[in-house]
Formats: sequence, structure tokens, C-alpha cells
Amino acid sequence: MTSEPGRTRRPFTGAESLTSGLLLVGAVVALAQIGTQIEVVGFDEVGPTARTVPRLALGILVFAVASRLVLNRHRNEHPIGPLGDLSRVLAVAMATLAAILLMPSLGFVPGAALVGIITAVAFGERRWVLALILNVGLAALVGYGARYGLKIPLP
Amino acid sequence: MLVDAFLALLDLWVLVAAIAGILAGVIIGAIPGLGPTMAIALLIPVTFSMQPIPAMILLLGVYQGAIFGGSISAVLLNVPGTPSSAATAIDGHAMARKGESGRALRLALYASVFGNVFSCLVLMAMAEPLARMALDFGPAEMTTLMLFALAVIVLFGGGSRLDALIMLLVGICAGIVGLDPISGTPRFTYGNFALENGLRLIPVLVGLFAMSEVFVQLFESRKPAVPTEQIPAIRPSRIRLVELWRMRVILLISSVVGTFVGILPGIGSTVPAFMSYNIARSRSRVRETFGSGADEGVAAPEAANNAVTGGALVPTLALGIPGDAVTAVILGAFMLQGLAPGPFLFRDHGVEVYAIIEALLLSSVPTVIIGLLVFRLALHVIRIKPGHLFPAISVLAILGAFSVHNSLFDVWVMIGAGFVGFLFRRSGFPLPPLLIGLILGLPFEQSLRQALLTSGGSLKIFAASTISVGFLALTLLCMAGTIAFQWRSKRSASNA
Repeated sequence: MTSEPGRTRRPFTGAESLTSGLLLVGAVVALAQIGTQIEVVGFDEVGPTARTVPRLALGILVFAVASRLVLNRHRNEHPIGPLGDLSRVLAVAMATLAAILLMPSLGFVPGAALVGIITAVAFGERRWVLALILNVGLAALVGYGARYGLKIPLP
Repeated sequence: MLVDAFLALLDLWVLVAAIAGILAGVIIGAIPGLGPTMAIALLIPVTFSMQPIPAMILLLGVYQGAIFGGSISAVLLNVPGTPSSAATAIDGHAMARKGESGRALRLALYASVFGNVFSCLVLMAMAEPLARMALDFGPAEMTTLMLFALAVIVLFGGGSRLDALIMLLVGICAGIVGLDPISGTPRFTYGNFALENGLRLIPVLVGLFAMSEVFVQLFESRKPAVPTEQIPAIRPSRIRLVELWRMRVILLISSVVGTFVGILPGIGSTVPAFMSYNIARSRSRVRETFGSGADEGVAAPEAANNAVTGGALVPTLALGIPGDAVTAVILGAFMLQGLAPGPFLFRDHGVEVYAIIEALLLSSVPTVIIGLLVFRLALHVIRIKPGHLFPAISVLAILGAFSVHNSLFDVWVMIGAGFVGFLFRRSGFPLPPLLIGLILGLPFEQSLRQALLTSGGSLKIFAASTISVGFLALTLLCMAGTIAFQWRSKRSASNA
């Protein structure tokens, strides 16, 4: 087993295995749900039905992901990374989702400004006033530009 | 039609759109990590209130400008702005270290324009005849054509073929969500009405290419930043016409390579750039200068990666099959403007399409002028801090996802796609096959089922026409060729 820069030594503990594992679980669950999630109507019975291609695609996906896991079992993988870095990503994703939830009541400009400020802080911006001015200004420019310039009915 | 198309270009807004697009493209392309795909995806909302011709000229200007813009940071920082500029960085940055960055950037610019002009001429000559031929295609021919395209993406897209196959299947599976194209029954909607429209292309690609970049940069933000303080100064320099004339053969070869590799789906512009670099080195009488600042080492990859723009648009416009991730975004933009790419595009919107192609050809003039003017501006853009740049991308991504159908559900989809894209990129899975699978999955299924419904479920329908037999044979040939090549490589490696 050779070590490559930026790669962990232990197989099955890296980002590749995590993503492949999640894909495998997702594909197996979807395959199991085909019967309940896809209804087949009467006139569709000649030849392939609405379930045929999904079943085929999901089946090949399960086989391909399982093969990848088996074939790459001795290969070095990228480390999943420090929890701190991942938590910053999750924090921005969650803040964006919260801002989207609040957008119908708050409006686009405050919601977008919130996303901008949180992203800037997550990137290490510690000049709070600058972050506030820049992101409120940006959100206002984008929001009012889109509403009045591009006629997009923003929330 | 060509004259009518030219007359349609005589509009001030067309000129404004071309200049704005190229300027935005060069600047965005110069920033490492921000490629043409993200730039076009984020600028799509700007085009909603525009007429189709200026709208598409703006976006294609961004495409053209960003491919060249990628060479600015490649030359100055040795950090390619776009992956396709990686080959340019080898000799371009070597020239910059010798104090010849101005010369390297000018060479890159002129070669880019040469490649672009060549590929636009090929696009003009090939796209309509191809579309006319495809008008006769029935469901069986379309199925085999799309099967060929999907196989090419997996076999020749570069990197691991198994990973490309997995990503392609993920894209196809994501495309299944929504209403069934034949019977109209919901599939994997879990009773959610909004999911009946499926996962729409623009929110997914804004998530995959813009939001995931924010997440990736955020994840890696503790890594040492690019040392922008060490950017070499751009000194005045000139390139004489005779110097370009001496490179005419390699510029032509690189443009041919870029254009025709660009026509093949899924390969993108990085492979032809390196292919052209290697051809230029093998043909050169002074091979030893490659790697330490050879003129042809900059010109060849730049001509090739810009020639891909026109080449990749041939199957996109004529058949509705995108050549790479950028053309997949452009395909989405064409559809939003009511110009659905495919065999009917040239028949129904010939004037608009030719006007757009002519504008792409003529925009070489503003590209040279803008390129020469913005070298120095790009130096300042490269210095923008991630803490100022990425919040702006997040806000534009939200606007981009929302504005297509004025739906907050699409913004949710965008965030989800962004996180999924982040996971895939962290794990080294390629994103373009996913996007192409999402675009081609549903039409492939529709054609396949239509063909089998008309034949009563018999597979013989695929052997009934020469065209479909031809595409099936090509697909099998590509697969057999790849296996044989891999077997030979392994054998020669074990012998060595």
C-alpha cells in the first residue's frame, strides 16, 4: 500500500467509502421502494413500464457502487477531514436553509444578507462591521436589482 | 438565412451583451475555482428579461471569456483559473517567471481567438446538416444515439470509468423523479406536489457547480492561500504577426484537435489542451524549451481549449446532446429562452441560432480588445479575499435557483445539490457525467419506451434501421477498443 499526498492510509475510512456507502444505501432503499413509489397504469403494460428503466438504472447503480467498494478496498482514500471544517460547511448549509425558511416572512434582502454574513464569518472574516455593510449592500443590490431591473417577483 | 441573421445582430443591445459577457467571463475565469460553468449558471437570471439573441450572446460571451480568463491566473500564479488552463500554466508561468508574463498573456489571447474562430466556422458548417439528418430519426435511432453519447461520456471522459458510470447513473436516477414521460404517473415524489415537476436542471446545476464550490472552499479555507503578493509584474510587450504566422500549423492542428474532441460528448476542454501541448512539443525543433517558456507551449493548449467552445456546441445545438458541463448549462439557458436545442432548432429558429453563431464568431474582435485591456484589472480580481467573494456567490446562487420558476422549493433543491456536489467532489467523483445523465436520462427513457411500445416490446426494432445499427456498432466498437487498449497497456506495463 503506497501513501499518496493528501490521502489517508486506512481503506474504508475515507471520503470515497463514506460517499459510496451513502450512495449504496440510497440506491438499495430506492430499489426497494419502486413498488410503492411508482404506480403502473393499465395501458402501459405492453413493453417496458414506468418501473423498467428506474429498476434497471438503480440495479446497475447498486452493482457499480458495490463493485467500487470491493475493487478499491486496498486503495488509500482522501480523509473525511477535521470535524471543525465539516461543521463550518454544515453551519453555512443550515444557515442558508434557515434563511430560505424565513424568506417568505422576512423577504429576500434580509434573508440573503443573513446568508452572506454567515458565509463571510465562516470564511474567517472577523471585521464584523465590514462584513455587515458589504453583505447587506450586496443583498440589497442583488434583491432590488432583480426585483426592479429583471422583474423577478422575489419573496 | 445568414444575411437575415447578420441583420438581427445590428442592435446596440447585442453589442452591449457581447462586451458585458466577455468582460464578465474574462474576470470570473481569472479567479481560480470559478469556471465558466458557474459563471453562466449564476448569470442566467440576468437574461430572463432579455430577447433570446442578446441573452444567448451574453452567456456565450461569458463562456468564451472565461476559457481565456483561466489562462491569466495560470500564467501569473501557476494556478489554472479553469482546469483546461492547466496545460497553459506549464510554459505560461515559466515565461512569467522570466519577466515575460505580458508576452505569455498576449500569446494566449491571440491563440484563444484563433481557436475560437476556427471552431465557430466548423460549428456553422456542421450543425445544421447534422440537425437536418437527425430530423429523420425515430425513437429507435434517438435511443441508440443517446446510448452512444452516454457510453462515450463513461469511456472517454477521463478519470475512473467506474466513477463516471456511477455518476452517470446517479444523474439518470435523479432524472427519474417527477412524472413518468409516457404514462404521467408520479415517480419517487413521496406525495410532494412540487416534486412532480422533477429536479429542475438550473437549480441542480447551480447547486452542483456554484454552491458546492462555496462548500469546498469553506472546507479547505484553512489551507494556505495562493500567494497573490508574488504575482509577477506585467511588462509591456508585443507579438508580431510574423511570430503568429510561424505558429500557423500548430495553431491549426490544435484548433482541429480542440474542435473535434469538443464534438465528442463528455470529454471537455482539458484533454484536448494537453493533447495539443504534447503534439506541439513532439513537432517542435526545440523540444527542450518546452516547460521553460516556449511560445508554442502557451499557444497550442489555448487554441485547443478555446476551439472546444464551438465544437461542443455542435451536438448540443443539433442533437440536444451536451458536449460537457458548460454546454449542459448553455443547453438549459437555450431552453429557458424558448430555443429548445435538438433537430428542430435550426428549422424553427434558424435566424436566431445563426445570429448567435455569427456573434460568437464576430466577438473575437471585442475579445482581443477586452483581453488586452483587462490583464491588469485581473490582477486585482485575483486578490479578492474568499470572505468577500463566496458570500456573493451564495447570494447569487439563491437568486439563480429561485428565479427560474419563482419557487423557494428550487432553492431547497439547489442547497441539496450543493451539499451532494460537495460530497462527490471531496470523494473525487466527476460531476459532468451526473449532469449529462440528468439531462439525457429522461429523453433516453422516453425514446427507448416509445421504440419498444411501437414494436410491441421486440428489441428487433433497433436492428431495423441502418442508423440505429450504426450507432450500436459504434458503441460496441468504443467499448471493445477501450477494453483492448486497457489490456495492452496492462500487458506492456507488466512486461516492463
